Amino acid sequence: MPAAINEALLPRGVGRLTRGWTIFILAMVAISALGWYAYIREFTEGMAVTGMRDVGTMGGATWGLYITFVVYFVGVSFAGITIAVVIRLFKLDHLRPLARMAEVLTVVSLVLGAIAIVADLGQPFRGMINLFRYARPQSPFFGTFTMVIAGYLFASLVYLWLTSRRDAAILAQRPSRLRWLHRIVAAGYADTPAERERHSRATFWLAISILPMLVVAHSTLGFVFGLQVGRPGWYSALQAPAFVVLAGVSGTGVLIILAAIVRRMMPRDVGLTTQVFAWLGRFMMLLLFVYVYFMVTELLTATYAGSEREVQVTREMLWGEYSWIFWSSVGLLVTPLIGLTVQSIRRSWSVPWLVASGIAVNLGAVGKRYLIAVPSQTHGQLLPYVDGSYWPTWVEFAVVASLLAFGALVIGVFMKVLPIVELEEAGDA
Amino acid sequence: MRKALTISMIAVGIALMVISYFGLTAPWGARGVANSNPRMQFAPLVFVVGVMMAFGSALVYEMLPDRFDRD
Repeated sequence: MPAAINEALLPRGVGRLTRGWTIFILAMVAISALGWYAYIREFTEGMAVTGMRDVGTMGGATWGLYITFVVYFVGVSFAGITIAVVIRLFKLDHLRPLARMAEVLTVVSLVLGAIAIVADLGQPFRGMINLFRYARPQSPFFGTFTMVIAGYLFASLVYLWLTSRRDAAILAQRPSRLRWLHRIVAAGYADTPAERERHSRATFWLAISILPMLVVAHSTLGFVFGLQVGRPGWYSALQAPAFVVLAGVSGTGVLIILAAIVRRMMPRDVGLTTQVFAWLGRFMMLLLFVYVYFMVTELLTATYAGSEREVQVTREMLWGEYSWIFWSSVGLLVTPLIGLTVQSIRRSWSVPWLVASGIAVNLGAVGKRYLIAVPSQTHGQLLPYVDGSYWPTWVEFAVVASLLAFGALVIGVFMKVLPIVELEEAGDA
Repeated sequence: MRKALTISMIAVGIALMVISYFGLTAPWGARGVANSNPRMQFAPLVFVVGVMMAFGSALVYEMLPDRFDRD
């Protein structure tokens, strides 16, 4: 007689659909649907329904909120896989509870980044085909779409799958409605010593090869802006490293938020201790220090003896149309930095404060990404065009909100399908 | 068998990346509009396939059933 199906036998809340989770998923589906409606409007009526207009001749910006979030999402993915890889490479076992959620975060953010690019294209299918057909390796776009969207996403998916097989195999031994899915994910894994050895070797080399690709991939995204000599505000040697560092800041912030949610949701202790959050806090603090240093250096260089147009773009950011975004972003980055430094000196960490810092740095990062993309287009003209302006329409806000909701939806569903925190060695199941 | 297949996949993947990047896409350093198109259409796709093949080798290494393993 087959064993009774009982989701309560599965660890980490897998398969158990609570009322709160169902309401959350329905809300995310509703927001995603609104985004789809907005995108259908954009696809059928054209980019005129967005706030984007041609640079110069129409006094607008062709890269707006979507590109802001492309850069943001890819940035979030950076910290996720970096932390996951570092945990495995350096055997930081006390941080192991973070590894799976960091991997999931990477895959989800990369998918969202790719969708945001599609949303930015008036004719997405034409864009997708022609990139594979004609892309020039001399262009940083080549690196962005081959290394980030194709290579990096694929490598992260492979990594996530391989590291999930053992847990799926454990879950597949328990009777549940998801057993068939766990068997597929486990793909024959039996946790023999030989398989463990192979797994350890495969993930080690995969991690080693992902790390340099991460830096190359993120740098190409920075180069998309940083190599444009004819666009004051973008042309800078600091763009690529600053991209990588701010990516680390925002991604670590999201990971802190996600880890806090998981800690609260789990019925028992899963190893997400205050020390784990403290490690994330220190990592974020270090990256914030580097980023603030880059930001000050960049501003000093641009304002001290910059060209006329360079100075104008910077002036617009500091005291003009974009000043409220700039100073808000600076506040949202510097305040958590001060708080993190104080906590680090006192060696006393508060998880709620870390979560608040995570939210703040992410809002600050979105603001900074917006300031990278937009002001140089509206106020950085080398040709004699009048200054332009850009503000997103409801369509863009709805699409971006739906992307965020879709990301939350996927992570929420993943948590009910596979353990978001790895199962421990000695029969955690 | 396992190691041989894995190393072959990595080697073929890297070869595809190098050949497509330097040999099939638009030439480096060449001047003129005529040289702005790739020498072979979909050369960037070949590069992407190379990247995927190299990373996909991890799947072969880990998931190939033991009966193929004669190391």
